[in-house]
Amino acid sequence: MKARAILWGAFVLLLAALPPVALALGQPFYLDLVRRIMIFAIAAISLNLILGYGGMVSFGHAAYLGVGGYAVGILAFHGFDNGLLQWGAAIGGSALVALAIGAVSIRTSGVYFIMITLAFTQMLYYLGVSLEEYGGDDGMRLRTRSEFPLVDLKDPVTFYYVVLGLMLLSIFIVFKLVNSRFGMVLRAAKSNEARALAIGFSPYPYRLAAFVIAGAMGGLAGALLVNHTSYLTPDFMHWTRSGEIMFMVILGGMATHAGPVAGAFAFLLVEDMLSAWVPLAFVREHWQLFLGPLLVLSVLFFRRGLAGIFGKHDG
Amino acid sequence: MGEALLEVRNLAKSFGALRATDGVDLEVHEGETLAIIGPNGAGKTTLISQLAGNLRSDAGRVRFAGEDVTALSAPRRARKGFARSFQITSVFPDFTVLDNVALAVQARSGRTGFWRPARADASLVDPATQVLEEVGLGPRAQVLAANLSHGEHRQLEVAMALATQPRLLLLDEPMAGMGIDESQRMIGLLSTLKRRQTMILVEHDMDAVFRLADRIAVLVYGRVIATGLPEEIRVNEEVRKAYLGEDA
Repeated sequence: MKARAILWGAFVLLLAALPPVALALGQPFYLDLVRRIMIFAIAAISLNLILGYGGMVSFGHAAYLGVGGYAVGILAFHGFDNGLLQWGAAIGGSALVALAIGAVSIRTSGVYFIMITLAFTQMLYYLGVSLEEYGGDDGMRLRTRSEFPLVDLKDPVTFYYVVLGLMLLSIFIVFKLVNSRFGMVLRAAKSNEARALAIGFSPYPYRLAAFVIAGAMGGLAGALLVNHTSYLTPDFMHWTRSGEIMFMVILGGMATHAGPVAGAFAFLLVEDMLSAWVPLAFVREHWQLFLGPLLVLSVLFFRRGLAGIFGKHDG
Repeated sequence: MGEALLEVRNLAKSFGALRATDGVDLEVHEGETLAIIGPNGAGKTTLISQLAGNLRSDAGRVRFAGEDVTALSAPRRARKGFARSFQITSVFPDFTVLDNVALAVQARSGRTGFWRPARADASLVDPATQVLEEVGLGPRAQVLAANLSHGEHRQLEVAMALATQPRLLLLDEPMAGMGIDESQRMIGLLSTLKRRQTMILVEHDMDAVFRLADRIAVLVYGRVIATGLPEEIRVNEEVRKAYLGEDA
């Protein structure tokens, strides 16, 4: 318990200390990399709420990155740069989309649930492709980053700390949720549905609520991502994206608080290392070829995820 | 006796050509313990599942406390006051024993919340602790349910059922697979519940049945072939032939 608190503290300090160190070393690239990783960590944290704690294998979590991204991009395109409006639309819009997708898909389970969530996300992907006004297949450039009073996201360091703060907030929110009465029922229904029914719980509304909350958090990640890349494309919602986010959760450790964060860092750092740092040109060119086996080995090797290395699963 | 707490009329359930429940009539009165006995495959677990609402009946009616509950799902019946234990142990294995029971208390309370930690909620933990003391699992409260012995699992099932403060407890072979000591302890526990808790008990252990039951219903091939006081059932010719055999 105590060791875990120390690990968390060290991790947060490290992330907080990164911008001044990276800038002093003349390596602003790391700022960019870690910011991107933390944005994906938020997406993974939100997926973990339904996948890890709720047992709902959603293969469509990139949908909310897309809805959040498009909400910001489209508002900016029409001249609305107010960040509160943009991010509010991103979060509210993806919550509504999650409500619609969840209301239908949570009535199914197993493979059907996976396929339905995937199908909905593919629909949204092709909707994005068909939006010619907003760049269609090619996407479009974000005119300017979201504008907030007092906080200037155009400053890369400020933006970094905003993302860090929101990632920590997401971890805290999920922590509070899964330990509340609501979260206990969500996890109990995953643990033994027949038993949950027998003592009088109807899992459906709990699962739907979790699905909507996860969707809203995914929408926030989408709003951050489009600000990060300054470019919006339907690829935000590509099914391989959904797979990557899911992989981060599984690699890091499902139903743990550190898992999705550890998974996002491990996955994206290894990807970055293979595609850019490795001194062999052959590896850099065909990095996917090497990432695959590494992922397979890590899943075989760390059965309970990377978080499992540091201790038993936490509630 | 007045109106029965549970009134079952002409209940039926078929699986293909097999009539698992074939026109069953039953009544259980407040405070009564009704034992259902019958040979393997007689349809006892099917009947319990129909009563608890896990299985939808093909025909017939179930009235509970003067209300027709035939069309209600399992969770809605649970909220009306049904509680069941399962023949094959069914708990939340990756939660502690205390969590398991606290969840049942929470189900009963009908309230939820998104923020306050459930494990620090005295209105859940205190009643759960009390029920655990009652069934003799007090010292095991912090153990993961998956790590309990078989007998303790059955005790936990009873504890969870009790924690929902049911008006009717449906026990599906609570002694199944238990050693003699464990069985005796379970019989002891159930006899402390008698009178203040209305129960339907499905059980193979005849010692337990004759010690606990106020009345016994005998189920054979989905039909109730006899209902009566334990001493009547013991001497009933048809029952002896169909079920108890020569050695009874």
